[in-house]
Amino acid sequence: MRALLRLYPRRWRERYGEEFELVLRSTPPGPGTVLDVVRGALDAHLRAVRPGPLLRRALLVLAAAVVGWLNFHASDDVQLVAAALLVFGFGFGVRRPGRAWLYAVILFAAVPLSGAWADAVSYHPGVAKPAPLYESIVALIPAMLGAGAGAAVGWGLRRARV
Amino acid sequence: MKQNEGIGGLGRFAEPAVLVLVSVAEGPKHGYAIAADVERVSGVRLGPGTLYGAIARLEERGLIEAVPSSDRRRPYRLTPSGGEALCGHLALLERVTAAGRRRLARA
Repeated sequence: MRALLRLYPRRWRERYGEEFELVLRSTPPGPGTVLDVVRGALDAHLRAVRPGPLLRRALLVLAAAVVGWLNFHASDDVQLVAAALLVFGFGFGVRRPGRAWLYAVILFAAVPLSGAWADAVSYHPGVAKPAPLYESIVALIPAMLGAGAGAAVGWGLRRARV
Repeated sequence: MKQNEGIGGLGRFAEPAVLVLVSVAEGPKHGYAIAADVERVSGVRLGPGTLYGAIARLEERGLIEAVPSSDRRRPYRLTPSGGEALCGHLALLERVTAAGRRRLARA
């Protein structure tokens, strides 16, 4: 049972390890205890890497900038833009399931914005006839799908941690 | 640090956290004593992972604090903001309980 303590992050072990081990030793061993400790360790790892609000906002701006950059340079092939929306939407959805829709909208907004910018500077590489800007609304689909899937996983993880 | 965020932000960890707060409201207790007290008071057996998940969150939010001790078993005590958060949460539970009782009586 003592080996289970090794599952926790080092800093967590330094802070709580000794007293945690005393409690663990006095707990009846069994699958329930093992599961509880594994869940606790997973939770401690997730909390250790959880970005703060400022870092999360910076990451969101960076992700939106990447989506915008990809869309700005996209020709007819928009698979990369869709993939980026799916992946970023998923990532932010996992971290904050309750706000997944908002992250999806912000990430999506980078598409019409960068499209408008491309129109303004007449930059349309490899495109004979640029699509009208309103068509970029379809980018909401991968953004919402990614964020929705992320939120489902995020909520599932939270439930598993208790 | 998430000082003074209260119990609301604890999500699904709120229930074990409230049980820990109720336990240390009696006086400083170490982890094992908290688990034993929670089981005695509520019948809920908190596993070590759940117990220390709740303790770490409460400490992070400044609702409990470790009492300096030479013992390997570090006691925790309620902070003033922990007391306020617990009072607010218990008042909410009382309102919900009263509403539930009234509605059941009418059913």
